[in-house]
Amino acid sequence: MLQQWHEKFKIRSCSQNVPTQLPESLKLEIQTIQSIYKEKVDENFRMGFYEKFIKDGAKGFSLRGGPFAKWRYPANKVIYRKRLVAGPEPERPRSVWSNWNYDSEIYAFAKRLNENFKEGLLRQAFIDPSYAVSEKSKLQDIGLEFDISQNNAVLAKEGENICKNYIRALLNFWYPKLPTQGVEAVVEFLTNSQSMAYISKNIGIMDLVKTQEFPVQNETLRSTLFAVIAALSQSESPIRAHLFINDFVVTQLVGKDINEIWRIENPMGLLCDELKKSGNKALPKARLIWSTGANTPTSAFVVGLYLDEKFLSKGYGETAEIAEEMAARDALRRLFGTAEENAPLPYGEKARKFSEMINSIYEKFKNSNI
Amino acid sequence: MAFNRVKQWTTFARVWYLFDAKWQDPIISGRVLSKYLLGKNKPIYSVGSDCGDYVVVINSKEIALKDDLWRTYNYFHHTGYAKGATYTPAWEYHENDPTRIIKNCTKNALPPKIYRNSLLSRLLVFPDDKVPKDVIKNITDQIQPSMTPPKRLTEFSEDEIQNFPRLFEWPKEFIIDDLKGENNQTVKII
Repeated sequence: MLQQWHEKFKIRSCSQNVPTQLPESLKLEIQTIQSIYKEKVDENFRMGFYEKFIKDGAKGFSLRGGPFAKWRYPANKVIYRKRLVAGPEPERPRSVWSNWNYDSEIYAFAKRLNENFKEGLLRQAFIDPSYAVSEKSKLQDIGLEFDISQNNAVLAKEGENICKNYIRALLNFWYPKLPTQGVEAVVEFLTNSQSMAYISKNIGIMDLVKTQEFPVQNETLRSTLFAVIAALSQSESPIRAHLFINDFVVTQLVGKDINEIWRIENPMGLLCDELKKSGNKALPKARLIWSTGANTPTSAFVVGLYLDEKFLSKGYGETAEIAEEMAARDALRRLFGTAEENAPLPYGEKARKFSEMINSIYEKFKNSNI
Repeated sequence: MAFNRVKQWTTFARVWYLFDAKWQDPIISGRVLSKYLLGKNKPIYSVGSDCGDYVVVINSKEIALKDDLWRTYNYFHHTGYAKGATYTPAWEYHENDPTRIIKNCTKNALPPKIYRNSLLSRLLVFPDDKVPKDVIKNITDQIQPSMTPPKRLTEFSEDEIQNFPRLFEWPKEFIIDDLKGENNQTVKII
């Protein structure tokens, strides 16, 4: 790019000096003389600061006139104002740059994840339906044919089913007492557009996806990640796709509380229903255990729940009502097996031991949904 | 929904304590109360943390100074002008404001820093056991007094005095100041 610019500048400088209305003999003489002195002239007189900087490097120019030279302040001021007028540099896709190689990027994507994709499937997974439509209209003008069906719509649907069913199976294995509402809430949290887009951006899907819109929206990133999962299950094996989901999608639960993800609006009512289901006729009773500064803004209350004069749970809060609600929440998480004393979900090599058992549960979900 | 918000609610809450100052040495009890005001009774205490508790002191009128300090100990004050020095004995100081001595002793036990006054604002002292209801509702715990208050002779019942174990009884002629007996001619109880 810079070399081209350099050559153009040289040619222009020479062509300006050649007079147009002259006899041919004189023209030839002038051209020969110029061809001899061209390089020297360019080096000594025509060469500006930028060209010399490219040739010689920073040597002798970087600190010309010292670091606090008089010309530096006004020059910087002008550059700063020009930058303000021009505004920030616009966001551009990575494929705009000349050193972009899509084939090698796709190859590197598979190698980075340490997976053996079928290349055709992976390429199809990165094509958004909107891109396929626009590409066909472009190629029709030239006279070429383009297959619209080569997009990731079918793959994305399949990948979504795999991903959701696998997470359901995993949660059913680790939290067998958790009701379906709670499981669905966690599945929705893990597979919503925000968290899936976060994963796909960090894997590097954002540069590879072929779409009509820019910047790429979260929902397209989500669907392409589903498509990649489906492509993995088709090209290698569904178990490999399950491990991928376990490593990338389920790990978003690290440092997060399941009880906070599933928002229960009426915990006391749910607790009473759950106790009725298990066969308890008596309802839980709330008792004040401890309190300080009841009349102050920084008050603290501890309320305990008792079932048949046996301790169930306790909760804390700034008022007795909030403490009672929190006690009900504590009782619920003890019932569902998601309390704080329970061990966190295993990841990595520890989780590999249980993959067979989770896969057996997964097949039940798969068959029930179809 | 906001479940982890109340996770450590009680660790960071300010606890309200009650302290009965009846027959207590204010110098010793000042050292005890200063620890509660600073929050040194808590495992989360560090020098910068503002985790002090509230202390409500009752019966500060009935504190007990040791030896002859009521008479000998003087509180010094200088007005700043010439001949402005005043020395008020402890008994007079206590008569003017019965809550003042225990406040002063806790202040002396606290570290001499500017935040000392804000810690002292959490010390509520009442001369007797009449405490407003709003304050009593806040109290949860009690600080153990260092000295057990002794029982006075007037607090014993007559049966207890008569049944008190004796080796022998003095004859009536040997008792000079029998306050309640017949021999009392000189002394009279007002």
